[in-house]
Amino acid sequence: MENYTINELISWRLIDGQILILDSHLNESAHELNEVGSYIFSSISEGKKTSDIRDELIAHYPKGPSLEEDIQSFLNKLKELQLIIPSN
Amino acid sequence: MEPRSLQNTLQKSKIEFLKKSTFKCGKGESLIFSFHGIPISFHTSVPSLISLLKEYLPDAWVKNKSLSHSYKIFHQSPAQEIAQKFDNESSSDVFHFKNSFKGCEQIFAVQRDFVATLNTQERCYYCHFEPIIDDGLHNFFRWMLSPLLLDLSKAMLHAAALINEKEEAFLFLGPSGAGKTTMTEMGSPRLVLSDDMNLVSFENDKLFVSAGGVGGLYKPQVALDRKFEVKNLFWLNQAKENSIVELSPLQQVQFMLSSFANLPWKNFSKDEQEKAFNSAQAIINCMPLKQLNFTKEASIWNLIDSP
Repeated sequence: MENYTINELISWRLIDGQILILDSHLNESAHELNEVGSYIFSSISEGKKTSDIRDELIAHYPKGPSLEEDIQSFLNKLKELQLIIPSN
Repeated sequence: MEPRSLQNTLQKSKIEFLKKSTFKCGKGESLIFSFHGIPISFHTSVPSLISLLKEYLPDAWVKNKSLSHSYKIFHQSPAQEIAQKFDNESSSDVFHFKNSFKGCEQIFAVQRDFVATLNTQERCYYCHFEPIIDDGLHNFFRWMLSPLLLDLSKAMLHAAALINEKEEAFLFLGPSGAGKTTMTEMGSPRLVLSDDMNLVSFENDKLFVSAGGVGGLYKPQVALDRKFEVKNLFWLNQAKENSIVELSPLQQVQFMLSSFANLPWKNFSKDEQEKAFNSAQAIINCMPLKQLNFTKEASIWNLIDSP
């Protein structure tokens, strides 16, 4: 799985367990992430590998049929918005 | 590069007019003042505007000698051939963009009532608006001051503000149409700071508000240099019943960020974005933002005044 870092152009805060992203420069927008999205985003900011984040989420939540797809779809959306960028 | 949205020929013609303008100001056509703590050296080709500004600004803000680190403003009245174009614009949005001009990158802003450019290196603003205390001047100062105020632990909010007989202030935030002016109308005999733009300052965990002095239907009923401690901070929501509802911390920050007036988000650097975030959180830490559900009846003030 591709690994990511947070785009340095954005500002974000963890507020009461949820991430609020301000990316005025890129999309003139603010994004509110839900609990799982906030966990993924925070983990990326801590430098965790995507596969480790996935494993942690699978261990924490009963593995539904679409959990892995949902994670990938969420990451694709963040990437599309340039909120995260691929890292090697 | 000019933004794609700057397709409007009126806006383009104003920018072109500004670029062709030569700003010359003679003796006696300058005024040094501080506007909400921002030091300004104002120069105009219209002497009567200086007299109007002296009447409009509190005495304590007008200075006799130049202030250190002041921002220079060079103003001209729009020429006759273009003046009517300042009224014909239908949109009230501010278009703000960076563009190269005279060999350096400058920031341009164009709105219905003014057009301006900022040379950031020289801290110089060049602008055109009608030489009276009205929308053009208000909109220019709102655009100019809003980003600078964040450095002073202050913020210009799109909000209505009133004070009661104990000089306790109530602030009402919300987008256009939310009911800020309605709340102001229903608030009589309380004194109005502004129904649209007010300045908040946060210090020692307390939140204060002053009349913004940069527009609104109501003229300030208190001096611009007076500040009042905020007793309640509300996000307006028109509803079938009156009630006060707590908002989540995240909603409070979101609503506060959306209430900052005229911040040029698209051109904000990471540092400026961080300042806005920090200011929003600092305001919320001083005073929680609650949602005021209201029915557009004056009885709402009974609920607001209740302990």
